[in-house]
Amino acid sequence: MTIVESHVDGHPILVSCPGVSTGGSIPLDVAELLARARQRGVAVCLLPDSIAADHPLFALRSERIVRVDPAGARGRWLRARWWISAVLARAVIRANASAAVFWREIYRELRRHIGDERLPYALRTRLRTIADRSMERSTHATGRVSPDIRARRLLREPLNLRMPASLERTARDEATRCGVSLDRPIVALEFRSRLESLGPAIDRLVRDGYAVVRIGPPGGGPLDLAGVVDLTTTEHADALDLNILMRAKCLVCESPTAQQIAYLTDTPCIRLNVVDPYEAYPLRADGLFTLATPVELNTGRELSVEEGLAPEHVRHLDRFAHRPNRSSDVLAAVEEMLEIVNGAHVDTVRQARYRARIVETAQTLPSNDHRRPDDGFIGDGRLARVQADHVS
Amino acid sequence: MGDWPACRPTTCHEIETVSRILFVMLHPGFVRYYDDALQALAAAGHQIHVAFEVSRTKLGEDVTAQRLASMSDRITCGPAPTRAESVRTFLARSDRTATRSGGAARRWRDPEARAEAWESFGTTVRLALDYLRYFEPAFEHATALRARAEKRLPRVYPPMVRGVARMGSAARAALSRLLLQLESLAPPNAAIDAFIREQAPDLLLVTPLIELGSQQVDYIKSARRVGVRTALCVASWDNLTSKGLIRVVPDRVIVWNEQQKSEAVTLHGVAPEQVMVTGAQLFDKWFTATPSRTRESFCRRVGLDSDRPFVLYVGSSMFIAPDEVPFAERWLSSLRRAESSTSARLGVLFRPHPANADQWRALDLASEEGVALWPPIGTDPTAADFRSDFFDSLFYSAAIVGINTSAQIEAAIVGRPVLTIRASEFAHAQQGTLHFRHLVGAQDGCVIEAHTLDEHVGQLLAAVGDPAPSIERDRRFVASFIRPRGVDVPAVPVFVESISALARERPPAVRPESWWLRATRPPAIVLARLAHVLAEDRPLWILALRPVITAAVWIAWIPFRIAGAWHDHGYLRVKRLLRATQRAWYESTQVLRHRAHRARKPILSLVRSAARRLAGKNA
Repeated sequence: MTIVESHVDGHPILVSCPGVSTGGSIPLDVAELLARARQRGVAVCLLPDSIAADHPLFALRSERIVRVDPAGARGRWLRARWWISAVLARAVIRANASAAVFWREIYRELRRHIGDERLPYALRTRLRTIADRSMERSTHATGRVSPDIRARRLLREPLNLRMPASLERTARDEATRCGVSLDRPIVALEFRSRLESLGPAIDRLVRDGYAVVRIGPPGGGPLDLAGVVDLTTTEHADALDLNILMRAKCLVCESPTAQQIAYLTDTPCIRLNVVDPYEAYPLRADGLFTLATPVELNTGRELSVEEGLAPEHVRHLDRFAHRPNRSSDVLAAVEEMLEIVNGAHVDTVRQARYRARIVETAQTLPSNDHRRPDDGFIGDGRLARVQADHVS
Repeated sequence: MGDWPACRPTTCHEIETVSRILFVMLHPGFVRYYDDALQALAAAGHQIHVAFEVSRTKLGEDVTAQRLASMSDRITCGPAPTRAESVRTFLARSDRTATRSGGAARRWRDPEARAEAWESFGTTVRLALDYLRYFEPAFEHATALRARAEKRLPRVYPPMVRGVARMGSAARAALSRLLLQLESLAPPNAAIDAFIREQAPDLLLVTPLIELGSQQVDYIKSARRVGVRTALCVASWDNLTSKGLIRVVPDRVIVWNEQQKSEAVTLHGVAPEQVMVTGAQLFDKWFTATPSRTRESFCRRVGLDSDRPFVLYVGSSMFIAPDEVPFAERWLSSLRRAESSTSARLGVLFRPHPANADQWRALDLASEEGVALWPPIGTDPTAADFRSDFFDSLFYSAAIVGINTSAQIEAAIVGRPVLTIRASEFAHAQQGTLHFRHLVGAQDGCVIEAHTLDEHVGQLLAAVGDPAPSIERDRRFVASFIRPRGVDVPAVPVFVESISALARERPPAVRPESWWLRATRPPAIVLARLAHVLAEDRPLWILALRPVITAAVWIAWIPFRIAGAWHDHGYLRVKRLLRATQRAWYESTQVLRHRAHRARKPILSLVRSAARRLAGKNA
């Protein structure tokens, strides 16, 4: 994400354009920009691109972070400045990518000659050295084509955003139309695969007096369980999903997007069936996740929780099938989430050990891997106790 | 096993050889489509040699071929002549991630280099033709098939083909004609000519011929030059619509049914009189098969309750369903959610596709009751009981569900309700393929299709409750698609009779190459060389830079060569000369010293006597 620092009326301002066309994650980009502005005590200007402009995420406001929406010539100037910076940043990335391709092709070309036995051995040895050096240069250039490492530390604190009154009204009207009672404690649910594994957990939530509301894009079929309102089967405004998330005591989700929106809405979140622990590790202290069980496709061997951290797994996810969580595990994880929501949760030794281990192994990821920790910090969240108990 | 005499080596000797048949298959995996037919041909007195272009061991196919050869001494198997560059090598060369060392660069005039260049040229043109066909209106929705064809072509070509193809049907036809002309420029393959002459067959059969970029057309061309009759045996129901083109039409095309005949005519430009409809010879065994064990024994083996009916879910291939398990789980949960006593009682048996079984390891059945997966993942598909096991699974099931697989055809033959669900993740393999329409056709299709899981569960429960309408549907499908000459007429004897008749026909006249082809070939070698280089699929700038790098390497070679030559010859000679000089110097100085030593005494005595004399005079 490109962030440009500018001035409006003499006040410093951070300008950025989180959006689909920039290739980033909108919620994370917005959250990071706001967190940076808060840290530096400056105002912020969001320039959503045309595809994402209508998304209600861009309408969220904070009392501590000043949002500036300059119109007219000033707005155009800020957009032009951001655009030039973004183009330059992209040009640098492209140049590095081209350099990586160039050196790699030189490497391949030299390899052709290395195999030519008509050349004297000494020359072939020399060519091999040059080829290896070309490959090193290619790798080095690839390393410079890195996406920005997320400012994980900045994102660990809540952002305290709120919805504008007009959107709030729209959301309320939509809620009434869809049969959602906003006065009851809500647990938001974003889940598409193997819905039956949620059964016992939903029973438990409903028993505890929560209204379970399923949000997100449609898919996976309807969820017909007592106490559940399934919004995925009815047309409704995006503002309702966001409003439910802001009001929810917690979010039970499966997709990274839902988890990232929860960082914006400061909703405690549990993410289930995680395939890549580095990508999904919760940044906030009220975050939790469970891992899908990796199964080696060739042998059928199940990987342990710790083996799931190995580079062989996270670099070659396609060599593994991932078995979703069983309903008993989901129930245990949701119960742990309720402990967090009620402020009664304390990390176990094994959860802390898993966190230390993932930080340690994440350091071994390539330098251009966006999943690397931010200066040794990967997140304040934790692996669900039901799985962390298997950590040695 | 059928209505034809089984071939035994002892009896085969007694029958005079009727004709010699050469059957060229891409790899031994195609044996399973023709094993019964080949045995029947051998029993009818034909001498058959099966040649494989690629020796593959995937799924134990080599074992199948060996088993075939051992069944009759009139059947022999062996490799086809080695190609200068196979399609596999061509595709491997275009792997941009490869970092292996190359071999020595061949000289421009090297015949092997020339042969490789022509192979590259032929494969490129054929792949381009195959890609081009997917722009025809019939393939409008075949995005995945088009993408697969595009992926095989080196990256420089698809934009060109796409650009022309989108100009309209006239442009497509013109490009197709041009590519066919270019394809005919490739010179005859001398090894294949020699192989056909050596085998001296009365009939050359080829299968599948329509693989993307297939080089099997060279067999058809060689047979024409040598004067041998040719036929394409269409191996499977999807071959004419999901692969490449029949680029050079053989004398006959042998298909299963009228639907395939229509595809051969409309999509491949084969004349109707060249197409022979024989029925699906590979399915004959399914009509006479009987279960290998009782229902109780089978259910016990697979882990199901024999008192409850079960649904068989048949897995699909990797292209059709690369990620099938999540869907299967969703399907299972919607079946379990249905509020029906039948649904609650239904058992479920999952049967993965043998070539796409690994992903099923993720299926977690620990908490499921009345659900099993069989056979266990990793079971050898060539094992003796694999096929009978499959038959038992079909026979004892109450209904069969699948995405798009030939197991659904086998289920229809066995007479069970067959169902499918249109799912968004399989759109590429359902509405995106033409052969799926054979399954779900309103008139002749055997498969009951649903657009949602709920609709499907309703259909499934209805079919299990009253299978009669589904069985009638199956019967119609089998009569039209599998045994078009009558449900009671086995296809193998029809196939054998058709082949025998073809083999009996007078050989066609030898068709030598036209003079203009031979005249055009020498300058066209430039195109072939270019195709060979472009097949590497590397950025064009590296091709421009290549001569510079090569020149730099050979310039660097000069000092290394001089140093080597100096080390090998000059250095030693100078060293030897130096040594000889040193030795000569040393020896000469030794001699001088010795002489000086020897000369010193007389000189000294002379000096001494002279001194004495001088002293005496003075005294």
